[in-house]
Amino acid sequence: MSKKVRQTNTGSSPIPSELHSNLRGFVDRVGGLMHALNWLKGEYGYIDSSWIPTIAETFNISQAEVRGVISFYHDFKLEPPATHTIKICQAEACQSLGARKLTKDIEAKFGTNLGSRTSNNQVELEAIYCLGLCAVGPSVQVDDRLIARATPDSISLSTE
Amino acid sequence: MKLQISDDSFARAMGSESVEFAIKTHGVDLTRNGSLGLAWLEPIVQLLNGDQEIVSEFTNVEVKDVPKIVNVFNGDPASRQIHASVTTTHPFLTQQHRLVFDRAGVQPPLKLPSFKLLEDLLSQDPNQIIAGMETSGLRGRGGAGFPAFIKWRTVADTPADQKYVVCNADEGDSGTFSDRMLMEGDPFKLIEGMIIAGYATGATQGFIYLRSEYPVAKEYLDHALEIAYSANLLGQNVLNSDFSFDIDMLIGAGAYICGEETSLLESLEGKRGQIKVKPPVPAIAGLFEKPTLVHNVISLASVPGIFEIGPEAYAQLGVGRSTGTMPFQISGNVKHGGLIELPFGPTVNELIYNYGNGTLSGRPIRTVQIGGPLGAYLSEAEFDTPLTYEAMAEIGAGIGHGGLVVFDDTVDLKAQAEYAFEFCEIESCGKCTPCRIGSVRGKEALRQFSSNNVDARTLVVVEDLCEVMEKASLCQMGGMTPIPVRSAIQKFPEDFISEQTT
Ligand SMILES: Cc1cc2nc3c(=O)[nH]c(=O)nc-3n(C[C@H](O)[C@H](O)[C@H](O)COP(=O)(O)O)c2cc1C
Ligand code: SF4
Ligand code: FES
Repeated sequence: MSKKVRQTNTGSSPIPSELHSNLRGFVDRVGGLMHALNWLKGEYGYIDSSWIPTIAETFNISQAEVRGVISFYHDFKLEPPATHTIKICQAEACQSLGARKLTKDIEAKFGTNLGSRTSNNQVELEAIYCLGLCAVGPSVQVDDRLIARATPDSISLSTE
Repeated sequence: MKLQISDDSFARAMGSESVEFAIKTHGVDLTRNGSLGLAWLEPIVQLLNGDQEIVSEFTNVEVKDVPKIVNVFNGDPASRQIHASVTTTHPFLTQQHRLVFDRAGVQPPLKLPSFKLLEDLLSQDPNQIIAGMETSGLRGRGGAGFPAFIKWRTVADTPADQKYVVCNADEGDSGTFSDRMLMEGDPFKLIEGMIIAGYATGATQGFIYLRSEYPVAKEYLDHALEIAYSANLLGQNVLNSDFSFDIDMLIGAGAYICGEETSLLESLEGKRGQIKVKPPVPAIAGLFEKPTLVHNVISLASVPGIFEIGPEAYAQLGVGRSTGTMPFQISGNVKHGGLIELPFGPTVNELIYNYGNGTLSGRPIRTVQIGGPLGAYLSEAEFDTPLTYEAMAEIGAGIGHGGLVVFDDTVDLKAQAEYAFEFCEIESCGKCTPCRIGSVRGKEALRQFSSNNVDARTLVVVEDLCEVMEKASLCQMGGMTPIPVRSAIQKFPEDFISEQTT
């Protein structure tokens, strides 16, 4: 049960034949396209537009269908993520513990707004709606790390 | 003697991983256990004797406490008594009635429990099991509270070459975490429930649709499924019976609407999670148009307990047609937040004061939102309402998935109403106009006024929007967004129109 390291492959975009052989295994599985897109997200952190023709071909559906699925889900992004992603819970239980103010403080600390990233591409702030930590909010997730009772001071980019 | 540390999302978010690491650097090994749901005490480290009894216990452990813990572990018995167990004697836990969560946090999550009950059920007539479900009175815990046995019988009675059991683990409601805790703390309970449901309805394939925001639950389920296959709990001839059953898991991709069952099934087919018009209901034509039993995690995990104590005994728990136990979840601005499994019937007051112990901020409680983002904000006068499906319906509220979110007197209900519209805007699947457009218009209407100063005419517009959304939306996303909005306006008018402007 080790922590997953993110974006192991960013920078090295797969060539179509590689992509095809990686995704082929998902075709016959129920929900195959969702499995495939989740796999790409895990592997590269995003789904590059240039991969869409190969994805469509592999699943034998139209490119429009692939785009339609990608655009429906908040998790599937067509842009590579910043080096670090800070997800701040915006939902009610966290609101009751000051999530609105915490969001402003984190925005000030990192110099960017929710839904945006810093110009050096180091930090991206994202809204998330409930991490299931509502009893010990406000909740924040920094990359793969969950943080309860979050304060501006407890949000740092180092892991330990 | 051995040390064990709680491990679930609560514990990790409260720092259990650094504590575990620090203890190991002292050369002391420790095992991981699930969480008991006393979230405010996490992370918890326990010292167990050879009989698995808790000898000492440390709560809210930080890395700086580790030398002390290691000393107690290595040291003389006297030091152990100083740190007696808090959790086992805490009224928050001792007053509960745990049937779904009986093993969670007590037994290690990945330890295979006894499957005597399952073996026994797999030799019974499936119809008898469905009759047991009817007797139990179990109603769906995902939100709608629909009687479970009707769906079981429909799936069983609809002829088809393939039937499915789908576990809805999309738990998107703010203030809810019981599904997550069950999957992380006792995944075999869910697996067992799914197998029983499959056997009774004639389904041979199960799916768990898990939200992507729950990576720890995924970790535990992945392991549990693997163990279940190697123990012949899943696959061909389950426990050497004539019944075969498989479970696959799909991770969602951050769409709240995929918790709605028709949307979920579309997503499970690898498509956009767009809502489908009902009828046909999934029990007749669900996944790939085949009969599909869709149930929430807690509904399925309630099944073993029902047959453990007997359907009649289960039906005796609770009040009237709200039978059995419900894992309530108390969260937000509350001192003691966590999971409270009780038979239906405690009042809101009991949960927020007796269990929750008031607000974390120390200020008075002003409102409680019950049943997630589509649930009502309650006024103080309503806090003495018992938590049953019927009593909640009488005050225009619903239990939903059992989450109670506590707010102190600094809450601005206008901001909450605005947020209800905003959430609907963000999560709308976009299929119908009342929801897609109404949510945006509602948010804008409230947003143009600064706090406490809404034009009376605006409230008329908002009420019109609510009426259209309620009556003309295709699903409950748009249809129930008016509930938090209207409850906020009706019960807390002072947050919308100040005295000077009225
Ligand atoms: C917008 C919306 C979101 C929902 N989200 C969930 C959810 O996250 N989990 C869940 O179990 N049910 C959810 N439901 C209810 C499901 O549609 C369905 O009623 C439920 O899965 C049936 O299972 P049950 O009978 O065990 O409750 C949602 C419904 C709506 C309208
Ligand atoms: S009410 Fe909203 S979520 Fe439901 S079908 Fe209509 S647009 Fe989609
Ligand atoms: S509402 Fe923020 S973690 Fe659930």
